[in-house]
Amino acid sequence: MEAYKKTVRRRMVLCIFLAVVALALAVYIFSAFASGPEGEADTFGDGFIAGFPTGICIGLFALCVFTVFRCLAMLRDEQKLRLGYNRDNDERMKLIRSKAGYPFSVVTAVIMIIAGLLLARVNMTASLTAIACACGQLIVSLVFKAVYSKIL
Amino acid sequence: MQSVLDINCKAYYTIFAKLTLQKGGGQHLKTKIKELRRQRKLSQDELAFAVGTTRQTITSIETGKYTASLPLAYKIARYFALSIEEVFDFSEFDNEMGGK
Repeated sequence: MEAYKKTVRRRMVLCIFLAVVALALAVYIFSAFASGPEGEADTFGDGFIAGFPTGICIGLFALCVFTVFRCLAMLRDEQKLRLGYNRDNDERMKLIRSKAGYPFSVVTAVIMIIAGLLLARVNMTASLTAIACACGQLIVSLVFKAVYSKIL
Repeated sequence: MQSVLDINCKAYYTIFAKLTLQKGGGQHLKTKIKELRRQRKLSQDELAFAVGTTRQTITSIETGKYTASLPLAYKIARYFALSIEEVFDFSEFDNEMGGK
């Protein structure tokens, strides 16, 4: 259980770091695009380039903050820590996750989203395609997880 | 009111998809965990907490949907102070092997 406490502490530190980075990025992207010259026509592309990464960064920030609070609660309460340990190391959940392609499906989806964000400046169609593929992959992974959760 | 498409999809899933997905799962063990829990007035949550797993896994093991690994089966049997054979029903395998 001491080893798991260390894992939880490491997770908390990583989440704090990610939260700070995500917030900084969101503020930077929003301010960089919001400070454009007035009077220029806003296209869908301009809105997408500014809004989508900002939204992702804010979502990531919220997720990290939630995880930090959950980790803190686990470190303060032995019962919650034990429950968390059981949940993380449950063999049935590990089997379901492996059948759903976790973690590589998430990793490839994240890579596709980052590629999509970088492509947004160059080609909007390619960017939207990459992001749609990433979303499709995540949805398929979720569907497999739901189906196997029912079957197993 | 369900449409014909909904009913067809459900039928397809029940007949084909479920069987296909379960194919690699092998045989599922019957267990006496539910009776043992009731005798000791234990909830699934309490048993799951004690043996280091989740309530959903205990439910799946009890209903025979999921077969516990050897370490988990051993932990469950030890918790009830019984042997693995007394908690899990291996009679199907005995019959397959000709009762040897």
